[in-house]
Amino acid sequence: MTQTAKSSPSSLQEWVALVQSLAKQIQGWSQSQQWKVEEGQKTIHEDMLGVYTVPELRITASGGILHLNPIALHVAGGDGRVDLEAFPTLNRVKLVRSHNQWTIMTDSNVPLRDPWNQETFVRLAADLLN
Amino acid sequence: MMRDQAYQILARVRDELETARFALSVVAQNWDRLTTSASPITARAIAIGNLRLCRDHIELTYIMRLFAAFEATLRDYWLNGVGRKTEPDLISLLTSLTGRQNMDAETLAAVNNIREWRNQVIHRDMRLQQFDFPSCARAFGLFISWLPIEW
Repeated sequence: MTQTAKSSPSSLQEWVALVQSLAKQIQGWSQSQQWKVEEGQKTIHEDMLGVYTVPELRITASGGILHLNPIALHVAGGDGRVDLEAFPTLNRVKLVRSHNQWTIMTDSNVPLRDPWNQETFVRLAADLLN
Repeated sequence: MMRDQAYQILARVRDELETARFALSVVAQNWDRLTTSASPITARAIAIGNLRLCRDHIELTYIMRLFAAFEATLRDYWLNGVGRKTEPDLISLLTSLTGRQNMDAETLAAVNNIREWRNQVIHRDMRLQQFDFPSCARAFGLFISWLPIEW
């Protein structure tokens, strides 16, 4: 992780750790489905945090590509957001951090009331790519 | 260009639409407070009717942008991927690419339906929203998926 932080480093470090943990979790779930996972580093610039890097994933699943795309810690209505988007369908859900858990938000801004676990992820992946 | 880049270009338009929707909604909800505190220069003397019109047409506006981004990708492929210097009209371009890439008829038909509707909107200023943004993005994304990974 590289950073030129302008605000509380504990908050930034916590966010980066959360994204790393999420990426690792999704990597494991994807590999258990025999999906190829490529990990990259995304550089994010946030006004209140400066520049930092977090992992992003490109997952080759049956039916297309899933992209785990971290967006920002400071977002309206949440404590961090990571997108899970599918190509070629361009379907997407947002994983929004609130109350110490990931909430799955659809692009219609309707939350999916499913727990964030492997079963949900695999089903979601199929739905996003369909 | 990488095919993934083409997807990202479409995704960025989607993200801008979402941001614009949010901004319009916040301004509409805080209209009284914003207009009483803002100077005429900052507020541009905009009426709430202008704002509502903008909000009502925002998806259509961004579908037109999405279409332009999609067409630009196809023309980039035509020039740099196929190596052609001609500038065919869009219907010929779509048909030609469908043949070259062995695309299925369904993929072409989905894009052509949107193209015909978009022409009506542009040339006759029809505001009937026959397609929504996600269905257009999906049709364009599926068409692009037939192009090579890199060109």
